[in-house]
Amino acid sequence: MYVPSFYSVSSRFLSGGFPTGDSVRKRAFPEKGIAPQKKGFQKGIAGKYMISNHKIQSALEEIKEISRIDLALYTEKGKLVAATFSGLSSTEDSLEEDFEEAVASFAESMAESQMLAGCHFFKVIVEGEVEYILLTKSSGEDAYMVGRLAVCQIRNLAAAYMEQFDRNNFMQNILLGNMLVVDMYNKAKKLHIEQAERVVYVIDLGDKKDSSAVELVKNLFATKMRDYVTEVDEQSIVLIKDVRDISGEEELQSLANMIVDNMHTEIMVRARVGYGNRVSNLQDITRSYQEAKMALEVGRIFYAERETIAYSCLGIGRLIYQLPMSLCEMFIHEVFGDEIPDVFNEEITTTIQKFFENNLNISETARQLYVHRNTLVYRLERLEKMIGLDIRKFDDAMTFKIALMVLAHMNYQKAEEQ
Amino acid sequence: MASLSLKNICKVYPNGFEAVKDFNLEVEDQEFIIFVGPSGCGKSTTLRMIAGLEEISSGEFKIDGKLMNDVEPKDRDIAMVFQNYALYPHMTVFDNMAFGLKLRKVPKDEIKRKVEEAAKILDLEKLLDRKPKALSGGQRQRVAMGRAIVRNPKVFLMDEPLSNLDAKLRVQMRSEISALHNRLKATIIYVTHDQTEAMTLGTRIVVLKDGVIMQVDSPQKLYNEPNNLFVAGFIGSPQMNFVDATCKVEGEKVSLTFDNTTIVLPPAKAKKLADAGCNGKTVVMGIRPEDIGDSEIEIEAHKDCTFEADITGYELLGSEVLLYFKAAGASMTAKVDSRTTARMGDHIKLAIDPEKIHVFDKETELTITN
Repeated sequence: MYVPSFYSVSSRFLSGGFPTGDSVRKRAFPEKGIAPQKKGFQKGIAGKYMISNHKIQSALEEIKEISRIDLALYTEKGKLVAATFSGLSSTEDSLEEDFEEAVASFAESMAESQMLAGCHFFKVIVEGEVEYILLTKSSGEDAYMVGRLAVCQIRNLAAAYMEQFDRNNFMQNILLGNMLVVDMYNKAKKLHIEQAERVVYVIDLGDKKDSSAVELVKNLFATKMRDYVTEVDEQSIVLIKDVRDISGEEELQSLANMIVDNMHTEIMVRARVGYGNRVSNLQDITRSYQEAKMALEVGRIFYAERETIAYSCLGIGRLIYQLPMSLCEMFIHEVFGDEIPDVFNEEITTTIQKFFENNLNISETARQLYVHRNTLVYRLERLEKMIGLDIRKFDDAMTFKIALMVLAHMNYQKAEEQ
Repeated sequence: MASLSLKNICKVYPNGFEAVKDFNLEVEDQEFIIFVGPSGCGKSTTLRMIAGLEEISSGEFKIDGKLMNDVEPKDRDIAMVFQNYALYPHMTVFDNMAFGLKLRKVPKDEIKRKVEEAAKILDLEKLLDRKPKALSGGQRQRVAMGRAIVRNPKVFLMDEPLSNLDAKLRVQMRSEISALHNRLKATIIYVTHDQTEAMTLGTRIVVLKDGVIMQVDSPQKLYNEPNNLFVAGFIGSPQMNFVDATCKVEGEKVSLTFDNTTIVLPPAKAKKLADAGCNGKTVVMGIRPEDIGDSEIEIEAHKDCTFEADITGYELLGSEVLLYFKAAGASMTAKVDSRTTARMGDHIKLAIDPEKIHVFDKETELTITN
């Protein structure tokens, strides 16, 4: 069997058959340490999307399991991405440096494949750009064939990921309102993104967001081509969920609960999820996103104990949230006068909370507070003297409840400004 | 494994809502503690404070003597199993269980060892290559448990993990969780609203209501010696019967009267009521359905504790029958032998076992007779 030593194979061979002993081979790869000038080779743009190392590692391991040939994958700069054998990132720095240099040199060269130091080197080219360099740890014909197959596999993986990246990028631009409607539909057609009923979920992780959380959400959802997971800021993850098969509001809520529980279990971070209304058109996705964000904002002020909040369930909280400060101040002044009474110690706060929970029922409230009925009445009368409102009466109770919410809103906005 | 200490733990939300009030509990190593109570009682909030997913407003929480209040959840050496878990649909059972460890960059060989160990414990060894859609409900639940077990934590926290399962599967999984506790020799804190689940699983049960601990005791003691009306009514199915009755103390004899019925209490209970100054007061008499009988033997044995009622409902359970009737304006239930001849519409005589009567203060709702 012919075993090539030094050779350069043009793209004709990579796309066509295997090399034969009759093929003309040129020595294109220089001696180690000298990097030739590449002609006409375009470098990739900075910040290009890369497949996760985990996925590449799995792919290489599977190929190794079938072929029993060790493989390694590097970036075009010579950084190791994944390998099925150790000794590349060894404690011997010189060994690692040698490989790094050899890979980088090869990437710069005109050759598309190469054999060096008992290994086959291959370029993985995606859309005209060198993305990776693949090594097979063997110089045989079999290793060459396996290497080419592996290149094919990784190229297709990268292409699929790039398409997904483009799709995610597209969705990101829609969320941020960065696209004209006409461009939106043209691009959607190109990326095979169809019109469908969708809901945007915003997963707020505060300052605890990291790649693990994103990875988790992607593994839960983005394996289907219909859902998209993206990020638009440092605190949250956005899920654009296709809800064609989800009929009821309860299912949307269950989905939100599932995300929270999985975050708690796997990543062990506190998560809050807000979600907007269903939208059918691509250009309305940004609306669902804004609604989800508002649900989180309003929930932070008025429903702090809840972990999942639907925009459609915000109730009066949404109304109050949108009141301008001047109107809030005017209202509070009308209700309480010049001085807001400092009535909110623990005892009275609990009493008021419990009284409202029990629909202004004095007997039941007293029972749940473990106090005598008369004690409760005394507390409510004391409150009435302080604030001028008798919350045993529905109108006053409603006014007071709204005033409390307006105060919470004002305090929150002041804290945010500071 | 680990011991836990919760001292004066409180949770108050910014809007003033007090979800948990002065929670005190010491958990020994390898205990299986259940938090049980109705919806909104603070059990999940307390569990989340233990996990670190909720800030503790005040109080101290320690694991093995170390203060944990400000320690991040991932550094507390705990693992959680929640109600709304989801498996990664495109991953095998192995990968599902390994995912959390991979995210934390645990070495591959260690991941393999831990996953295989957990799979052995959960009897999932032959299913490691399967995807979730090829698993039954019970198998999926076990994979969810496996995700927690591979972390080898000091404490397991479980928040209603069986709530989404059907009744039959819930019963099956309950026994598996119990067996798991014995095998792992783990400290487990388990939250449920289902009192049957609580009674069958726990070594000790914490009954919560409105953020306050009502009672902490073994299942047996909770059942036989409830501290108050709430615990008495919450634990036991069907629920304990409650009837308002007037207490009469005549020397050493103490009786409870409702409708035209007078029930004479045994001496030990009588003394407690007399000492509590209940003469002439309205108290709440509690009696479990299984302690009311309609057989001749029971009526003969408890002559001083009989009454008559019209049967308004009849439910055959199999070996037992539930008879529904009214007494002193209250709807009541008796659980009797299936050989009973009583039927709907019958007017029958029933007997109460006086030793099993509980008496509660109507205002404070605390038990007088325990």
